Amino acid sequence: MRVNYHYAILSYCPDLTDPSSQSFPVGMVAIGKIGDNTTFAISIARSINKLCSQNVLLDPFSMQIVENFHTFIDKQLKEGLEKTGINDFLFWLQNRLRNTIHISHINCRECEVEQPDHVLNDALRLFNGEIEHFDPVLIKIEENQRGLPDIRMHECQPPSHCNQIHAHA
Amino acid sequence: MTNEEIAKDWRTRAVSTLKWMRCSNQTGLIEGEAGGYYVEAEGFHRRGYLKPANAHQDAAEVSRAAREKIAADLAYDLGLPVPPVQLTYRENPPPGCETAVAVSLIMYPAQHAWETIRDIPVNQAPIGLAVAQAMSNCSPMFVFDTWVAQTDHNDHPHNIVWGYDPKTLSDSRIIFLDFAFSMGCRGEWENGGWRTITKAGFPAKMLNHLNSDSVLETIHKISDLNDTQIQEVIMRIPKSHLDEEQKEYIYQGLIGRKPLLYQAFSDII
Repeated sequence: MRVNYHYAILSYCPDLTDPSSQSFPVGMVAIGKIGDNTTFAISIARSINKLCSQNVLLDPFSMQIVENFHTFIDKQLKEGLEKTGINDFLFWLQNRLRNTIHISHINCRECEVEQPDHVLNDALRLFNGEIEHFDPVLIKIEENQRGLPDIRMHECQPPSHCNQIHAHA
Repeated sequence: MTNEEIAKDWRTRAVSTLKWMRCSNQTGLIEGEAGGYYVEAEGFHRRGYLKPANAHQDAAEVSRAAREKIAADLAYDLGLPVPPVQLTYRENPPPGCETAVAVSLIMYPAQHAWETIRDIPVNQAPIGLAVAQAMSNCSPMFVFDTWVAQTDHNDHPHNIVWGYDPKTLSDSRIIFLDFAFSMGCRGEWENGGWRTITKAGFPAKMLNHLNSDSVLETIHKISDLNDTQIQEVIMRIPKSHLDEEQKEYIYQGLIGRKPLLYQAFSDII
């Protein structure tokens, strides 16, 4: 079956005061529909241990967000979907996160999967590609050791004003 | 340079001597109402935010950049958490956009918007303690916002920011951004309109932790500001950024509202 979804890369900027500071990805959130009625959302967080082992110093509040990434995204989904619906959710989130933790880009994706939950693998491959694009060394280390990105499918509560979207885990 | 050194330096003049250009780090850039973008200058390795960058029909009357600068200078004189600002000129702006702009300093390596942090529980955990401490220093801004008739703070998700150096979380501060629409920018202070004074909108969570002694102390500080000092802050703004008529309205308003603060906060002090 064909699945369309949008995804956003959440990135961390180590120093907002530095004109040349580069952000790097710490997580991803994807949202889309399977068929006409089933909404899904996926969050993927990078291993905090791996970030630390790369001498990346996360500030304490960002560390808390990344450590509890799925809970954080779950909260955003509950609030955001109620306000915007799935088409605008990632833009709503982008507007909300625009400081140290921010959304660096939003993109769309189309894939063919045999079963609905295979979209998880597609999203994980996509995220690994994002990390690799940022820094091939980091992804190599993550592949060689334990501590691969953590991934979760969220239960999407349908917006109360949008009856045609059904909850699905 | 430290924030303190930059703030002291930027306070000494209205117009920047630096040549600002768009920098590579555009982290968090969202096309907001003002449509600003992040900038750097040769020999100054700090990021600034240049605004306004969008076209506005009422640009001359509102004079957003000038209001940012006046508010930042007065806040500096009062020791309040508003980023330093300098005026500058935007070269070859798109049609309809202003050349008269301002650059506001990005103050902290780590910053998180009010929307993200306002639900952090105030407790004994390091982050809870740090936020509590930062919030305890915000009461003076309630008075300052009222004085300058700030309308864009209230519980605004992004115009209030928690910032710190990751190495010194205990030394964090909550800073207040965006004074572009303050000081009667749409004619509210004309014809004596400045006499109407009501408390500025302020975050409910901060109001719950309001320090009335700090409020009174800030009112005293503003009242003690020398009229000449306020006049100097306003009148040195070049005509390119603020016309003479608007300068006069702002001057009359800021001077005239000083004693009215006691009345506005009579239920608190």
